[in-house]
Amino acid sequence: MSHTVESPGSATVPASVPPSPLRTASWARIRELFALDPTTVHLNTGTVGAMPYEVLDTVDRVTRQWTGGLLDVYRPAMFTEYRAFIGRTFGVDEDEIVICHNATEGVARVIHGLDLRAGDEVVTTTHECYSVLSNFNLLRNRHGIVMRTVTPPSGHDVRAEEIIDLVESAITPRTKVLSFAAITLFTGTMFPVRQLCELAHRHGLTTVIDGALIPGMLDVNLRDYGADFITCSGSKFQCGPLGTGLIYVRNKVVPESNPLPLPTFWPLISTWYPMMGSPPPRTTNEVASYNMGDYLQSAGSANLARGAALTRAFELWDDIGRDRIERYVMDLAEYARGRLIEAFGEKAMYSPGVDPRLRSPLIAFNPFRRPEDAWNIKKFITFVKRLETEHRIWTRWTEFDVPGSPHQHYAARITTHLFNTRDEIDHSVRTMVRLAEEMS
Amino acid sequence: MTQARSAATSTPGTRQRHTLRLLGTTAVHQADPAAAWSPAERQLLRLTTRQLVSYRGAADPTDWRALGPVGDLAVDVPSTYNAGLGASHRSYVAHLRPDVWWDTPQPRRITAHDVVRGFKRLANPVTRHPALPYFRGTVRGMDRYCDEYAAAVAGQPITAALLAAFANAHDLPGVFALDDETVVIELLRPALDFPDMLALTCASPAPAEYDAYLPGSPELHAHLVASGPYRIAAWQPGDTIRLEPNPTWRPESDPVRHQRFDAVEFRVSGDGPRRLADQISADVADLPWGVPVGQVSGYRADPFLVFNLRDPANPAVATAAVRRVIADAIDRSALARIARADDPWSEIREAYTVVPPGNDAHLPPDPPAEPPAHGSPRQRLAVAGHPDGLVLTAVHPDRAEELALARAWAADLATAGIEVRLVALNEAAHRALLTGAAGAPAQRWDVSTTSWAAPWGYGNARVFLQPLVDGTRPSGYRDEEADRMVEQAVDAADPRTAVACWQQVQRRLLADAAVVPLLFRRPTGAAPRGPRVRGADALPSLGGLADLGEVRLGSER
Repeated sequence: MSHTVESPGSATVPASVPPSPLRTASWARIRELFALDPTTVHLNTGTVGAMPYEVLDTVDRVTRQWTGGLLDVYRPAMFTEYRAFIGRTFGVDEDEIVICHNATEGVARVIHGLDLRAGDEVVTTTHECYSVLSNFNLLRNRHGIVMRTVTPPSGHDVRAEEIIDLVESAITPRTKVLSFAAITLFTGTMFPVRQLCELAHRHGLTTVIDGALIPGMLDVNLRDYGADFITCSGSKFQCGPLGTGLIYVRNKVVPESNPLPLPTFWPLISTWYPMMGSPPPRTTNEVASYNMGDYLQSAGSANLARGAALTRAFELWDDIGRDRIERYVMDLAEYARGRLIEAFGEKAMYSPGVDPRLRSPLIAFNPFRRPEDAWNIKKFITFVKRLETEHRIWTRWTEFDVPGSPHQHYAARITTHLFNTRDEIDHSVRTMVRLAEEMS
Repeated sequence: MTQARSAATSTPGTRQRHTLRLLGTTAVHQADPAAAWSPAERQLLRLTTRQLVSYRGAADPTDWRALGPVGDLAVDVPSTYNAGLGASHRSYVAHLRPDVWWDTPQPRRITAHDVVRGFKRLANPVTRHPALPYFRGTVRGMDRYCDEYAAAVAGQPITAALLAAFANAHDLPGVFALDDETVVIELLRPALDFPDMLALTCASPAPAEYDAYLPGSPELHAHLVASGPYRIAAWQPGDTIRLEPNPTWRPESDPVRHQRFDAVEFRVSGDGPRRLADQISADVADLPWGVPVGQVSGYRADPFLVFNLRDPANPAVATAAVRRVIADAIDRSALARIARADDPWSEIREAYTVVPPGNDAHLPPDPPAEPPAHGSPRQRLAVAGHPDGLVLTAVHPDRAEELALARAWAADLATAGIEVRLVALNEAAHRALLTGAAGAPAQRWDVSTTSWAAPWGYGNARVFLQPLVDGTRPSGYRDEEADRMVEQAVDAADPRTAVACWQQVQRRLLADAAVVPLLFRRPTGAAPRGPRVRGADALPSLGGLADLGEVRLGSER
């Protein structure tokens, strides 16, 4: 058993290091980085990504390094350097980033740390991940908060202003929190995050954003969104190991991003928090008064390989270039959207297409001719299952409300990512057309 | 009697070679799911029908496992965890088991289309099922479907063909089959108790053969098609019923019932409860029929008074002041003494609220702290405009105890200057009269005794109140303010808010004396069991009646 241990600090990349060859590598070369089955088409990154071999190796290597030793596992379990590295990628600081187990755990820890009382209102949407809705419902049961949910519009022609107006209409003087997904998992709608956060600022609201799909898809500065909390997945677009996620918690006041005071927040801690007294008052300026990230991160012993492997995935993305990845993913999505519209028509699309601000690489659509098939769950289950078992194409089906419709609607959903190609899209759309025709 | 059923006979297998013998004071008149409602009737249907979801029996009826339904005809209870329920909680998708069969001459699988047919039959204007108000206010399109169904047949001789023509030509918007195995039920709004509603026998699937008969009719009872472990072999309405094993029933496809016996016999005894207990002790029967055998946490309202608010024989009962006189004139303690003498197996309390203790929306304190109204009942009746008194017609079920109780409260009202003419009706006719069913007897009436046991025990704030504010019934209280409160209650996403809203509805009903609570009862678990009985689990959904599919008999006497 080796006791030579990989330092958590190894993720730091000096500025003098020359650009990685991956920065200019072809997409075919980049595709080779991933542990993909060459006989399959993976169009379901919206659910879970494919790990790069290097990430997989990191999980294995670091697990072995730390197994059976007598080393101090507590200090590295804070993931301080990893958090700092990941934070820099997103334009935020180590005290604002937490490596957690997944986006749903992250959102639960945020929601239950909010300082909400009976009668306080939360505005959210019916298109949120169940973890958002169930955790707020738990707060409703526990504290008597009020949930106000709106059903966002869906379809090719939806515009950002419709969403903003709808959300604003649900805000009342009792509203304390605005919570929404940056990219909805059901229809793949990229919500106008900055505009909604500005709306929240005008009403003095705390913002909780389900950003599960952000890392690995978008080249963004999280602070610039102006949100208070953003929870992310590490295993979807970022292609880290399963069981990795991030919490961004605003821990300083940068007026140009969010002029509101920091919200009162009660971190759900495991170990590290004063055992007597309180932390200092929360800062009112750009200097943190204490490390909120540490309180949330500290968990005694931890699976150190998770942090290392997730950071390795971040390094790879930085090597390839997050801006480059975002452009590719979005371009491929537009190609796929065009092909799907050619095949099934604009009316079949649940995902926005006309307003570029709302487009994402998740595209939800109804492949069937009959309108009533849109609420036939069996057809969508069968469609996705047959794509998987007969054609080795991985997609998923989703379910959601549509404003004005009494029915629960269902959609087939594809997701484009950096390892997908136009050929795969062409092949998949052709296959879906044939299958839908057969099933119609 | 003749029945369309499979010619096969079941193999005994592990079944005990016994006849389960039941003896009761309650006659059963209905075995049609679209008409049957009393706990005793539903106890019978437990053996002969299937529902999408059902409750399991449990040795302790307060065990949570007896309070929450599980998959029955459906593979599972639709939920967000099995893609059976969306985040909005308004669309239920039930996937049917593939091997549940109708006991038809050529055994046939029960399909989602049969579930849809069952819902349409529930909406029929002939039987006007007592539980219909739950569904009208919950299932999308049900309210309108009921109205249109009734309008389509109004003024015509109602025939089975007429009903079937409407049902087969009109979709119920919120209930539809995706294919043979999948049914979707859409709600107007989230209803956390909807799985409990699906567990009601009135939501049972119906075979196409039922289209040939009027719901609840003797002709239908001669052609009932079983789906549960037993089928009806002989039926003398109001008297003896004999069940025999249904050969098309498969134990592996029924997670909640067993087929333990060669036969199940129900006999009606004209004797009182003590004689009934003696007979059971003497091994004349195994269990009482229609009598709770286990303790349940909630009381039932049994009995209470409702008024004919639509077309009374005496318009005076439309006046709240008159109804308040009636409510205040009745000596509940005397009623409790009568009931205790006649029902030794229940804990009996005087009732002053609509919702009994142990159920959501119960409104303590009970009895109320308010002082009685000023003046004697006779004086108040005079102030209400009836100085010379009143004559009212009261209907009640034709059971001995009901008659004794009715005579007692009628005597109380006599002292207030209200003469009450009592009319006894069999349970089916009495129920039809109260719900305004097409087949109701042509009996004018003003006031009626009735009773109500919670058909589900958890999250049941609506169960006692919603039927009482159903304006389509003769006894339904109609009031805009109450309607607004009901809307708030059914719209409330938070169960605590819903409870508070239903309590408001209750206060409104009590303030207007639209309902006069008389007694609450709860089984003590002391009901007799025959010497062969080794186990009999009580079902909370049946008010503590035995789950007959779970009864265990020993071979030794």
